[in-house]
Amino acid sequence: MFDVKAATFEVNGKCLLHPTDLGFAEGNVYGLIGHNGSGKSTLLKILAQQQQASQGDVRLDGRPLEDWGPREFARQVAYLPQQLPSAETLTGRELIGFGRYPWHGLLGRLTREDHAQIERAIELTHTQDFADRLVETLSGGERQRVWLAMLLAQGSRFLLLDEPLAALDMAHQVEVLALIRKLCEELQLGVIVVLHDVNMAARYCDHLIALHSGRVLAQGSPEEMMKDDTLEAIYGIPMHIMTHPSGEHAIAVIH
Amino acid sequence: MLDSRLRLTPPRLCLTFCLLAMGLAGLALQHAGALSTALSALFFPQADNVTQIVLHYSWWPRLTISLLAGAGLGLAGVLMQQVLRNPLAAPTTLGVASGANLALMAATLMAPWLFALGREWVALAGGGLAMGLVFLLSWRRGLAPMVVVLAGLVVNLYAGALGMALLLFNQESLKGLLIWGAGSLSQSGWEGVEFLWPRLAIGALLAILLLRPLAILDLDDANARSLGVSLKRMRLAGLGVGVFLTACVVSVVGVIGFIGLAAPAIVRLAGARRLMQRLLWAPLLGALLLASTDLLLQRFSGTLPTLIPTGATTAALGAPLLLWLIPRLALHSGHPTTANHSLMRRHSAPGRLATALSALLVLAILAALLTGQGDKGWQWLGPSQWLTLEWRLPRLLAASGSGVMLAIAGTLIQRLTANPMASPEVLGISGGTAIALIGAIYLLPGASHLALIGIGTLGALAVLGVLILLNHRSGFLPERLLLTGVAITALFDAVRAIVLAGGDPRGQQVVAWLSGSTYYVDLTTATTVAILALLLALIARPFTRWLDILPLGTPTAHGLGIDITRARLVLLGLVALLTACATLVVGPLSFVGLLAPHMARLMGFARARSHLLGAALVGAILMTVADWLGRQLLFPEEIPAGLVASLVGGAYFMWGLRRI
Amino acid sequence: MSVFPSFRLPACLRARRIELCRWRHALLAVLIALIPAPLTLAADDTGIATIDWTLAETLVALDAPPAGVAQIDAYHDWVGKPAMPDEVVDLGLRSQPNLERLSELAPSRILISPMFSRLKPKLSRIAKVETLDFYTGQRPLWDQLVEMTHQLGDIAARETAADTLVENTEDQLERQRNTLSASRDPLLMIQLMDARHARVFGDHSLLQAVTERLGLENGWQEPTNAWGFSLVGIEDLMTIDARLVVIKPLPVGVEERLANSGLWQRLPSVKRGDVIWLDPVWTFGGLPSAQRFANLLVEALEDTDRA
Repeated sequence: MFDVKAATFEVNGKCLLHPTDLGFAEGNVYGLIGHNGSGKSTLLKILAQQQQASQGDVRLDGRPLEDWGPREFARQVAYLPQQLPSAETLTGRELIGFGRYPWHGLLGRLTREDHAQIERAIELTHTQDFADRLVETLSGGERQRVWLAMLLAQGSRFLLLDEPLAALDMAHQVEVLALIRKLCEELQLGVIVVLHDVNMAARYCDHLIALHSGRVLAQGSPEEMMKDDTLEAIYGIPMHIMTHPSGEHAIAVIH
Repeated sequence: MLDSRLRLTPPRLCLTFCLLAMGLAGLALQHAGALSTALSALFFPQADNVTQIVLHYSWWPRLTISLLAGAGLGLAGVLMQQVLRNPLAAPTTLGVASGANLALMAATLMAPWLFALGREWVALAGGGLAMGLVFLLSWRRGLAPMVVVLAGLVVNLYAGALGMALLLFNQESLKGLLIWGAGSLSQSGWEGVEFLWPRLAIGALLAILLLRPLAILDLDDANARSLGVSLKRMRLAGLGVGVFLTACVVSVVGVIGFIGLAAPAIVRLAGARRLMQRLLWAPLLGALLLASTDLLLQRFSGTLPTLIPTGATTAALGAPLLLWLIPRLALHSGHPTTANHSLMRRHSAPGRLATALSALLVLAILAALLTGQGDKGWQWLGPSQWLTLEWRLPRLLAASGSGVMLAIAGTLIQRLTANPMASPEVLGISGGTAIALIGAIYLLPGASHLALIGIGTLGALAVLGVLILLNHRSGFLPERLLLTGVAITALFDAVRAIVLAGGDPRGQQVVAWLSGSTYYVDLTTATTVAILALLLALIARPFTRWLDILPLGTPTAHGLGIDITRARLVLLGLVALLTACATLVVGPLSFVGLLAPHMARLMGFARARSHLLGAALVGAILMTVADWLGRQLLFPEEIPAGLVASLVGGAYFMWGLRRI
Repeated sequence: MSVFPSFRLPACLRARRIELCRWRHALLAVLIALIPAPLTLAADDTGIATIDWTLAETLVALDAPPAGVAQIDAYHDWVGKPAMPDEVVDLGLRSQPNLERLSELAPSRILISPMFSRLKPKLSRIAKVETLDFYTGQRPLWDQLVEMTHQLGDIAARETAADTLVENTEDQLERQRNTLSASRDPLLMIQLMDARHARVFGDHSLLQAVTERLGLENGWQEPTNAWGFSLVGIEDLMTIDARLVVIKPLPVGVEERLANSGLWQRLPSVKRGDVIWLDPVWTFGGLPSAQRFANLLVEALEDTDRA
């Protein structure tokens, strides 16, 4: 359980995140939406301890984040940065194996448990076919799944994903989000994901949090959030809500 | 953060230096009489007035050329850093200065008639050839920054090593070039200015024309390409103009490299982020920095029996300025990092490769121990000549041991910083050791061996202290760490250049030791070095998990639970230890630490563990073979192992670059 | 330079022929040879080796040519005379003489000057090393050179030759002093490094030691280093009204540049056209070089007197 109380973030006297109160629980997919520079990534980085909140209180399971040891924290929370680094000359399996670092540390041996977790992560993400190829030779979608597998191998309770769909085509976007959704349900993970596409967010998230200029503008279930005026306030352009031809969910279109 | 009163901006910085330069110039002119006479001396000197003649033919041209050269180098530096996307890039990165230096030395020794054309043209041709070689090596990869930087490094090393070798054997004939090599602005007429200004004007004009397309290079390759820009052509143009400017400046005033690195870096630190701003302020700051340095120098060096070359002094003043700025201001690493994955292949069985290399190492060791030249030509060592081992064994142990240590240090630092230009030499540790030792050798002639070890170690510790002090608050951000190291290394280069240019006959021994020599090692030292190398190699091995994960970048490493600051500090400490040990024995400039990790990568050692092993083996082989070759090639004269290692390793490396 | 303390190998490894030590033992001994052991000198006395050109030229002048000298080719280029006999062995670089070759040569003594003192620990394992002090910048150079010549005479068992060399040199200078007319312009003795820089010789230099004995005044009174020169830009010579003595060789291309150099052309001596260009002399030399320099200088001065 993540608790954010009055957390702010400032850089060079510029406030990127105004005092914010939020809570995140396991078993849910949270979507962070908003336009560029609205503070989505900043919030995610604070949760992932990539950046320290300037003020306020952020706790995991009631303990302030800074009290957690780095590896102890990584066993609870896994983070995928927005820009995936070049994996140089690593194979998929090797990269996924790095996910076990929080468990075995610098000197610990790779146990049977570690191997089992790696295989499980590969299975869950359906990366068996290319786990032994070099990461750099994989397509964008395959690569994204390998990185996701590394996060899963970490065996954490929370996944923090910063725009995991940015480099993917439509088919792969759906594939990755469906996978995230499935993992959340099967493993009771808490997932916090920064998304650009509000329709994707509405379809796969349990809870949407909209940020604007470093403040939480609105939050709620996709049904509550998918309103013309709410979306217009979030994105700053007129939006219109329609029902998907299948009749199952709402979609937003630009006027 | 600084409060707004003190916040540095490029204009304020330039204004400060402008006032300083004007104040110094005013003081200097006061000696000559009224300002008006000084000004009239500029245009209409009185033929019989010595002061006016000196002003007209020496002082004014010197001031003018310092402004011109500083501006040219500042501009060239911006272009280089923009195209190569590397804050460590300098006008001299592409080997222009070392190419020019080598050309001048070779022409002096072998083709003096070339000087009838003019020294500038020989230097220009040398610089141009070096640049051509760099472009040739990186052409197939579309002049990708990473490949250009690597090619530039290796061409620099190669020309530098050849130049050092020539210097070692022809100290007397080349003594004049050492002054040029240290960058002296001393003028005896207006020819230098007349040569330089039209060329700089053309260069500046071209740079302005290139402004827009070059600004696009701030984007990553894919985005730039999608804007319809031919990256290769643009890089060729940008680098070409930068190199042209550098070559012109260097050919007239000698090697003044540091301004070209420092001025753009300082204006960037001071907040000039856009290319336009940097193109404007960096040349201005470069000009003022060089002019103030030179005026200060003229004011305070008058009483010394030796000439202090300005080029070297710019480093002595610019480096502390850079060091002072590094922790104070935010470093905007606006450049996207370039992936180097596609450069490197991966060997299918690194274990087999390592075994083969080990066998090669054993062969090399046997050959180096048992063969060699004597009075009667080549001979195998017979059982009656074991005495000779007394000379060969220590050198062998020291060469292979220091090769292993430097190679491991290089692998660590390259993986830690994810920068291919990083090497133990660049980090400044060896520079600090060397400054301390040179100082001790010159100032305390009677110092004992033990005292010298102590002093050298103190030098290394002092540098490590500076590195930690300036970088702990940023969590040892690689970019800052390397800039700190570069500044310290520039200080070392300054000390070396000043010592050599002074013409002290002892300079020869300094050259020999600086270039990586196993000559002075005795058996005790050598055994210690070999044992230390094995020990530190074993210590480095457990860190391979960090070394695998750290190149993936801070966010990932942090996300996986690595305490980044601690990891960097521990690895930095290990690098410092390895480098200091190796430097105390074989001197600071062996470049094995740069070459061996790259050579191991080219061979296909990919994972950190095999990379460390491969680099260590390559380092040991390279130094062993180099030491043996160095003793045989010009028998009975000996070429220091570091020089030969640079030549052999450099050749392999160029061949490898052509292949990728 | 290696900066660790040194220990010596066991004595059995030092002897030229080591039949007594089986090679396996020898290898073992080399590997563990960290025990200090007394030094034994090679029995056959094959002579003196030196890596310093000034000592070498003086030894040749004493008719006791050394067995080995460093960089003989370069010696002939820069010191020139007296020439090294052909049988002298080349020891490699002066800064790093070839140790294997030196130990094969097995000289009885190795002579060095203080500037090579860093090599002493290495060299003293081959033969007794003696350091002769000169160019230290502390005592008058001439006294040091005279003393060094006598020392060399003692070492090479050429005491009378040394006495003669010293006497001859001083006599020659005395004689030449008397042939030169009494009052002369001060001299400015320089060696050009390139078209803009020069070494000016002053206090502690061989050249000044010679001109002093010739009764000539040196125009350069600024501080100099231990080798007796200051490195300066041409502009620093402008204010000194003295006759220029340029020691050749000129670096390549410099002659053309000087012709176009505004500053050089306005040097007082160049304007008067009384510059003296002297053939190469080893400026850090001993008494033989002093004789040579004196001859060249006096000859040039007398030539211009006649002209």
